[in-house]
Amino acid sequence: MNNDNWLDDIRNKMTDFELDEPSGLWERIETHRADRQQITPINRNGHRRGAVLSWLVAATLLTAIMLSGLHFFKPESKVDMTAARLAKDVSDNTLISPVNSEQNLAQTLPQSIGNRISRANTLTAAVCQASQSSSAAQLTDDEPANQNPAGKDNENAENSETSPSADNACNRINTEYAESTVSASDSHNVRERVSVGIFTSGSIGNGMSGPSNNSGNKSLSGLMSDPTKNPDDGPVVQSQAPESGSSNTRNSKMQHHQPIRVGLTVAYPISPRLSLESGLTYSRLRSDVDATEANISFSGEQTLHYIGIPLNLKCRLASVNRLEFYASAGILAEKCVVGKLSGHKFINDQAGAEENTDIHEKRLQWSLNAAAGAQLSITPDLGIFIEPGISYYPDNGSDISSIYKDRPLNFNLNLGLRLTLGK
Amino acid sequence: MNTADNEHDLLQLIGNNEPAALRLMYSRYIRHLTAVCSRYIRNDEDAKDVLQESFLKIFGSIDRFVYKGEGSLKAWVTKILVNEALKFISRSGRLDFSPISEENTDIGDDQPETADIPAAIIHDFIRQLPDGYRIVFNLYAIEGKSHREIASMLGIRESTSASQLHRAKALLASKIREYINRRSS
Repeated sequence: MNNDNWLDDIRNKMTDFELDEPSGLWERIETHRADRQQITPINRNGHRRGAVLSWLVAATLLTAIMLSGLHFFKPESKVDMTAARLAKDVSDNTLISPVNSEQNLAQTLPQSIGNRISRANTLTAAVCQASQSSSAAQLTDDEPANQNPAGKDNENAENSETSPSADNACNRINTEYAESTVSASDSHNVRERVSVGIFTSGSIGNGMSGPSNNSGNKSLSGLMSDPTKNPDDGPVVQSQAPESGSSNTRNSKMQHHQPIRVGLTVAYPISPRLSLESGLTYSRLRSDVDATEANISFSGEQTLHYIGIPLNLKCRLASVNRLEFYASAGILAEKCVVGKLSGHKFINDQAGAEENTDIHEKRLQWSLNAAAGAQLSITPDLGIFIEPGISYYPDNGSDISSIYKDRPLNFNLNLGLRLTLGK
Repeated sequence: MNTADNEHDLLQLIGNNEPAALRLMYSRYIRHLTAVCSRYIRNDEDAKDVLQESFLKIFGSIDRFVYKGEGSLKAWVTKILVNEALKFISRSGRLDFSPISEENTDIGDDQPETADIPAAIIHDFIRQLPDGYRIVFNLYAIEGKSHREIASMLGIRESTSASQLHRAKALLASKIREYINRRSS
């Protein structure tokens, strides 16, 4: 039986209790209201939209700063979209004179662009020489341009100067191939490469609170035990929970804060549209704890640190310019690696010293996850993404109360950065 | 005359700048808020001032309210009222958390039986609690705040909140038992 049932009854009674209004109150409010600010029309979603927008802008700015740093230190970071477009424009001239275009390109564009286009021309020319029946489509499918190491690019660039002049068909192939190479945002080849993503995640909505009459929370049971029952004056925190059916009853209340998650994932393409994604995640779950048992009460904080391994199947849905939409679903296995319960215990009026106890949880916490995502390519290799999603945490039979256990269905929002790696 | 059967409809009326919408909102919540306010503020005139200030704040910030389903508006107006009540108490310097001497702080092994006691009686008992006890009891037992939150709201230590709650419960239990004994005799 709960010792605080009478308080629950009082709470229920008070929640529904009403009293007559003070006389003349509305008239007073009317008078004062006229002197104050005019009430603006209600926009129930405006505040939330504004908050989300502010958050997105802040996140985008942060990401942009990170990108700038990464971009600066990346050897090929000189390849920007402006240069790519310029290369594309210039490469169109290869329909008329490919060799001249290459030479001009090498002088006017960053070396890597020039190398890529030169290499494209070389490959195409070689294929045309070997077999006039080879099609452009086959060439682009079989030989993604950006899978070639930079060193080889240089060799190819040199070789291209000694290539025999190509016929119009080959020139056309040259152009198409060069375009597909340079304009990475239009190319599926880029998306078929392995990508690495880092992200941070937060739940959508407020944290939650509620009474928890779970007498099995082992760490709480330890802290709630009466120290006077420890004749050896040892540690107050006991490592074992009271036995089931114990006469000790407890009313505990936990308020869960929004979990925070960061992760590093790697996606490996298994088809042009599908890719498998896995990696490593870290999650922190924090809850405020208040518990009472007879004349003993405890107030503190529970913090759980989880390391997880996700496995997701991602499906690319559509691409519009530099924006790509995708959906993903999968599972996440998480293990609580560190857990702590810290706070103060009070016996009647006497507050004890701060007490800490470790929380041990051996069970794995599984979750089923689904998300819809949008990725914006900042450069051919780098993109920022946003993934609203939903997660379901099945009960793993743990005694530890957490937001996973008390609110199995969670909405979350991932924000991150994805780097696509070539071979 | 437009009517609003639920909070969503009421918000729509307010959003449409219906002249009677705010009065409708006032009528819907005033009895509930009066009861809540009088649990925090014992003096009726002070409670009236707090109610007035709360409604002015509610009307002035209704455009920023985010509807999260039926009941969310009531929870929001209650929260504003409680904040205003705490501000009033804080400004008036009436909050004293010193314990009453020679007071029985033993709640007893058996919890008091409250099921048959009318809500008005319970409400009156809560109002009779000393200021510090009453505020902490209201925040913890009725509003569902944690000691950590209460400590933060009132600028006191968590231990103070816990001890005030314990004493409030003991005193309230004592009043309830006395009432039951009087009634049965």
